Amino acid sequence: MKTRFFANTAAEFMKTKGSFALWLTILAALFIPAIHVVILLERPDIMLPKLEQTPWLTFFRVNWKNVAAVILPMYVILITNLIVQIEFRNNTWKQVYASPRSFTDIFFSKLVVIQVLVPVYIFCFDVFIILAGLLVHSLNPAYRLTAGNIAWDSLLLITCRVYLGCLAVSVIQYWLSLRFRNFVIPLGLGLGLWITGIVLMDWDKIIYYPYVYSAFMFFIDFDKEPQQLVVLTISSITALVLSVGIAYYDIKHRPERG
Amino acid sequence: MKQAVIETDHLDYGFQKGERILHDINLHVPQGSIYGFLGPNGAGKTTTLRLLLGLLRSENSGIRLFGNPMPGSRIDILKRIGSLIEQPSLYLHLTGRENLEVFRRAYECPASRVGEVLQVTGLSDAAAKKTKAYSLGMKQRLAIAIALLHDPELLIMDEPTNGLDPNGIIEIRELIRDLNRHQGKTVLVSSHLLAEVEKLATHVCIIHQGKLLFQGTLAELQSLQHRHALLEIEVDDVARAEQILSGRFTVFAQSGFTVHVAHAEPDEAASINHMLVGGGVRVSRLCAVGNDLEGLFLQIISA
Repeated sequence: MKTRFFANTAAEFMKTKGSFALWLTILAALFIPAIHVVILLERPDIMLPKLEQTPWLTFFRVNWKNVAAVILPMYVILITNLIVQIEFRNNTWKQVYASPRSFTDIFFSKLVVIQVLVPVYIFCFDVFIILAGLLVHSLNPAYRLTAGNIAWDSLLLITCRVYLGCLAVSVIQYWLSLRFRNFVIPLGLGLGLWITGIVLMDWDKIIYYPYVYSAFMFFIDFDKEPQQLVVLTISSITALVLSVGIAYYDIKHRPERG
Repeated sequence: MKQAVIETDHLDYGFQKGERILHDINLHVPQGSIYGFLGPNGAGKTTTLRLLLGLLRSENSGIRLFGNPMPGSRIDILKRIGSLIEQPSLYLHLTGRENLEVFRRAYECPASRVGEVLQVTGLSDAAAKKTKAYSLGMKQRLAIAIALLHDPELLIMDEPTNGLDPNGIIEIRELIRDLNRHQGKTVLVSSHLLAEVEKLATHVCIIHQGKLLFQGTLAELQSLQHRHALLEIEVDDVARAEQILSGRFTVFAQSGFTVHVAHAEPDEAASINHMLVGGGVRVSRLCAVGNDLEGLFLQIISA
């Protein structure tokens, strides 16, 4: 059973070969660090004072700020849609469901692909931030972004927290992408839900709204509000478990497949 | 009677509550047969095939394949079935071989099967080409190759010759025939073309508006077809022709100088012609009509 699931997951990865998924992952990861290389090199008068005290931590935060709030939710919405659309576009769902695979296998093997691509994106992004910092330092040594003083622990902490925050959204978007053949619907719903989160940021019940978790995981100062980290972690895990459960139940009990 | 590979017991289905797309369908597909599933577009063929493959959810549907209930034994059943539903399901950004590799993992068959099915379907030379560059006929053959990967006992094919040129149709027909004769596979093939099914099938089932109108061997269908054959005759005096023939045959006067005459035996065409000429009616054209699917449907319904 396990071997079979691994084999089918490997087949799911094969399906992404030659698709835009890998390019999207690399380009989305490169986008923000590349912009910041230009900013740091063009405006040292503004950026040098900012990075003076804690060069790497500040550089990480400058980059992650945009990603946690905007780029990561966008990437998650796009990549889930793209992966699921491979089946819709090629009219292959019926062949997938007519093969001797359990619904659990079909549902989770594709979800694994998404859950691998999102960390790959985050990993690439972290690598590009470091490469960007080193590049900036090599061109302008005043920035002190040297290989020796990289704040690995800060980077790891930010990365893990934001990743945990985006997990539920990745499953909800997966569910929406499976539900609707027309790719515009999950895309539009995802963008709408994300914008709603931004608009309702000050709402006292916003903690129950998964589309803001990744932003909150970055922007809330947990040194000042440590209890918020616990609440957000529990909310993120609960939302993840609930979204997996509801999505799986709903897809398994759809009257029509393929 | 041969053991049935597919059986349905009073199968009813509707997409919505109160709707009935299929009414009381009792299929019996004998082992080793090429079973032509015939019906016009919208008759319920694809819906039936999707139910057989578990693509539509239906509790207590009374569907049994290889003696096992569907969807109860879904995975065990699907291990023994190869399918091609509607247009080919292929990943167009992958090569032919990669498409087969994707499905080979699902069917848990050895890597050597990929080369074998490529050879059977005549696609060995095109295996490294992306399938978006394939012709429709090649796509159809690759879809059949996917269906054959795990060497299934039963092949379910929904309109496999749809959209193909005459050469492609002949190729697919020959392939199906070969799979049936030399590899012993039972094939259920749906079509809206009677002529196509006649050339291929050993058994035929006719479905219309969700109802099963006929099920039996091809010979039984042909005998039924002959019993309800129709002649179109062009004469110079329609009234006189009706007068001569109406004692023995059912005559329908058409517009102008044409009459339709229903008859039971094929050799009665000569007698009809003889009667008309003997009665002083000039016959300028005489041909069989109603051998198309629609005509046959009408005859079966009115029989």
